[in-house]
Amino acid sequence: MLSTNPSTTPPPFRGTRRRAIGVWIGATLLFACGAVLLGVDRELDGQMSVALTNQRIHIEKVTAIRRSARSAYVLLLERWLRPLPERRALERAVEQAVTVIRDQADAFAAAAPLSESEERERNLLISAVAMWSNRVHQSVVASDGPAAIGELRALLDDIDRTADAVQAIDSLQGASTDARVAVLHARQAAIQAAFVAVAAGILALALVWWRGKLTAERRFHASERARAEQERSEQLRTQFFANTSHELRTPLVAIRGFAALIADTPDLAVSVRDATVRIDREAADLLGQIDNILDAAKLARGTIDVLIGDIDVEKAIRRCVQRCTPLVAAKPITLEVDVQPDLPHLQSDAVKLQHVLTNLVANAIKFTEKGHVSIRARSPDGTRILLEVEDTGVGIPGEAIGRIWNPFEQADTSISRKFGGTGLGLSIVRGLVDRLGGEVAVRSTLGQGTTFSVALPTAYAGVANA
Amino acid sequence: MVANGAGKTVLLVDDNAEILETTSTFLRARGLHIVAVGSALGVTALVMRHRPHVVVLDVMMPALDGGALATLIRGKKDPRATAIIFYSAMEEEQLHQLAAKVPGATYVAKADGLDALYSAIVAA
Repeated sequence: MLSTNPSTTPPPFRGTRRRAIGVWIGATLLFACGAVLLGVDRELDGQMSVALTNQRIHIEKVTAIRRSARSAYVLLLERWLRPLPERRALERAVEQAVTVIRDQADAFAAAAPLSESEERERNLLISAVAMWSNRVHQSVVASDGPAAIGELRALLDDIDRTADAVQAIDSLQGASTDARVAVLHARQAAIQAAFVAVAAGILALALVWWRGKLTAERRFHASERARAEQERSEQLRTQFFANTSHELRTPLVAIRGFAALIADTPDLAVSVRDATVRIDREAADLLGQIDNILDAAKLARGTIDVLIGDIDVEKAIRRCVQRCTPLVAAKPITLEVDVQPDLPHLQSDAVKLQHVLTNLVANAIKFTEKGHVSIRARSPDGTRILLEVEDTGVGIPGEAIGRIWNPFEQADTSISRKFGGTGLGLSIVRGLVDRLGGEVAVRSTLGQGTTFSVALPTAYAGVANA
Repeated sequence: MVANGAGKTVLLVDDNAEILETTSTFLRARGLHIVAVGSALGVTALVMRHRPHVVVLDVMMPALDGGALATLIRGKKDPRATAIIFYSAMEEEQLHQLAAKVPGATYVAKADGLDALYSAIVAA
């Protein structure tokens, strides 16, 4: 047995994965930017430190040379002014001072690279120092005091001028270095601001991702809760229908049972027997109405299950006749069955087929006052089985024949008052036959009778729009 | 098999007293030997004692439903291979599915009436 029922899958948990990938790519790029900015920041720090150190060293060295030159000049003056015995000691002191100046000049020459103008002035200073020290040496050797002092005074002035020029350049260079450092500071501040912005961006992305994740999870859980609630509600509804229909049918079954016991009584008065038959008919009719209301509710909710099995059509028709016989009651109607010999079995839903047949036959009996209700079954081509229910009843007016399959419709509003019924039977027939992959048709002549046809595939192959 | 059902022993289980009474009386009037009980409890012992040809089981009963009871009966050593007929006012789709699950079981909807039940017992 095959059970088919269109089922719905829960809504999938979409969007989070794609959003997470986007956020992580963004965060990675931002981290890379941050790393680059940090590297640049450190480089600028190094550049500023080197510039400031070079400037300081340069100024210190020039100042030391100038100081050494002045003290050497003073020693040289004293050498010529002092008595002879002290001259020798002063000459040694001058020689030592000159050596110190030369060493300082050599150290200055080996100092860190400077700007082009600074370099030029430095070279001038170093040349002046070299020349001055040679002349001092020569003057001392020649013992030509006044000439040496004059020359040396002029040379010292040269050294002063050169040192002033160097210091002036140093000052300019210092200002330039300060400006450069200020620029570097500004760049560094911009980089730090950019770094903060990057960090804030990463944080914002993380928050966006986390919030998106939470929102998606909340939606998913809400959807799951709603689905579980809907399933529980559907189960409760199904259980309610099952229990209620059982409780409605049970007393009717008991009524029919007691009617059957009365009918079994020998020598029953005709009026009593007739009353018993009517009781049985009304109870049987009410049982059919309960089935119809339940079928209509299931069709409206789309919760009809199809249970496929092998069906002997003739047996199904005989069961339908047995079930509908009480509905005939005292009417002068014969129920006739005409089944094609060797009719193929049907692969379909036995319960649904029984409901279709019962509705059509009960409907025919209801609208037929006398004559017959015939149930025919044949298979024109082996792929379909054609079931027909023909009656000799009141017939259907031409203008109403298109509406009879609609729920709650009867051909004439006076019909429900005269014949009873809910107007659900034929809409249920069409709904069930559709679900079984078949077709319904009707032809009728007013006042002569109606024939309903149901064509079902011998093998159920599902329903396209199920 | 007994011809026309006459003399067949039928164990009838239904918690509804009216239905149990009407069904028992109807079937006895047609020559069947009926053992009627209003509860599912102790039914397997009755099956072993009476060895019925047919067990007719209501389905929606308190304490033990007809489906579980049928499984218990099938679990007993039963040389006669007692036939089981589910006889219920529940929805026919459910009845159909229940009968398909139990070997050798059929069903009759109570809405089909006592004649349908009698025919099924005769055919069992």
